[in-house]
Amino acid sequence: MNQDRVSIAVEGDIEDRISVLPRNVIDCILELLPVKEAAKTCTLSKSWRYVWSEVPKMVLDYEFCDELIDESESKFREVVDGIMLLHMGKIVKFNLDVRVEDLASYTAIDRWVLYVTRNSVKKLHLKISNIDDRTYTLPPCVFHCSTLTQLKLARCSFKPLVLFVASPIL
Amino acid sequence: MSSSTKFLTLKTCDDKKFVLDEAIAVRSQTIKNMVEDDCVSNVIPLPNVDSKTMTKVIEYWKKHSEEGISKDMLMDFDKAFVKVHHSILHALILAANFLNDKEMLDMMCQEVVDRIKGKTPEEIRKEFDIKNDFTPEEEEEIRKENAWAFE
Repeated sequence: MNQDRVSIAVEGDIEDRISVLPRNVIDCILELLPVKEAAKTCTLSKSWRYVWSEVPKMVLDYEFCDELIDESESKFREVVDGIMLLHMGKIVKFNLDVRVEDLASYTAIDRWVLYVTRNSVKKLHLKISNIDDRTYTLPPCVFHCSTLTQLKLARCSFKPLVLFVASPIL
Repeated sequence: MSSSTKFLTLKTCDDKKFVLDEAIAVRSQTIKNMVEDDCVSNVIPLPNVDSKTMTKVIEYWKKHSEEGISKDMLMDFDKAFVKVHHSILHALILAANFLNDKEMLDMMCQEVVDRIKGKTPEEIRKEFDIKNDFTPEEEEEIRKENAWAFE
């Protein structure tokens, strides 16, 4: 499908080659970029308009979260809510590495986890640090998620009784 | 698999042939699958790769298959290897993708990332000759959607 466009692009010397790369390669490039810089690519041109919103892996690393939380925790929640809202298609991988203080952030994380479990998440990695001893407890929706194959948790707790019962392939 | 060295012949889209040690060629998952499935007769056609690009790919494969080569030497080699014009980088990415050499593809993608990082959208467009086909109003609208990224 892309082949014709690609060969044309290679011939000239001032052609836009990056925009015609296969989608899996563009996804790979966007995944390697810091979240903020990846998000900005939506303004490059019409062909980039929705590319970042469709990348099936959402990796919100500590650096990204921490920069937002530095401003305020509500800002952090607002931005991640916005990212989820604008996302199109599956989220097969969701990584969240964050250190929070507000209980409201736990509610927000529940919301995001619920969202990804309803959008075909396969790999779910959560590292939720906090200042006090209030450990984040995983919502039950995780264990009812039929697409989940990998769950990595750090500093989270969960009620183990329901584990393996509902999620057939975890 | 026999212990003696087996050679494969690869034919690029411009009809050039490359004879290569099978142990090196199977760095390509695509070629490896063909070998394992016994689909290899005499010549393996590579319809998506030209000879100029394949020469570079083989140079990379051979270097990375050298016995006793130090990590530092490989790092220096890789660094120099990716410092090429966009057109060559593009061809190498397509080749690595077609040949399904994940290690090489990741390295190439990382180079593209390094060329994007820290640049404004306008600088990225300039670097990669991307034509901005938005009206200023449209661009403003999209910026608003992800306002946090532009703060």
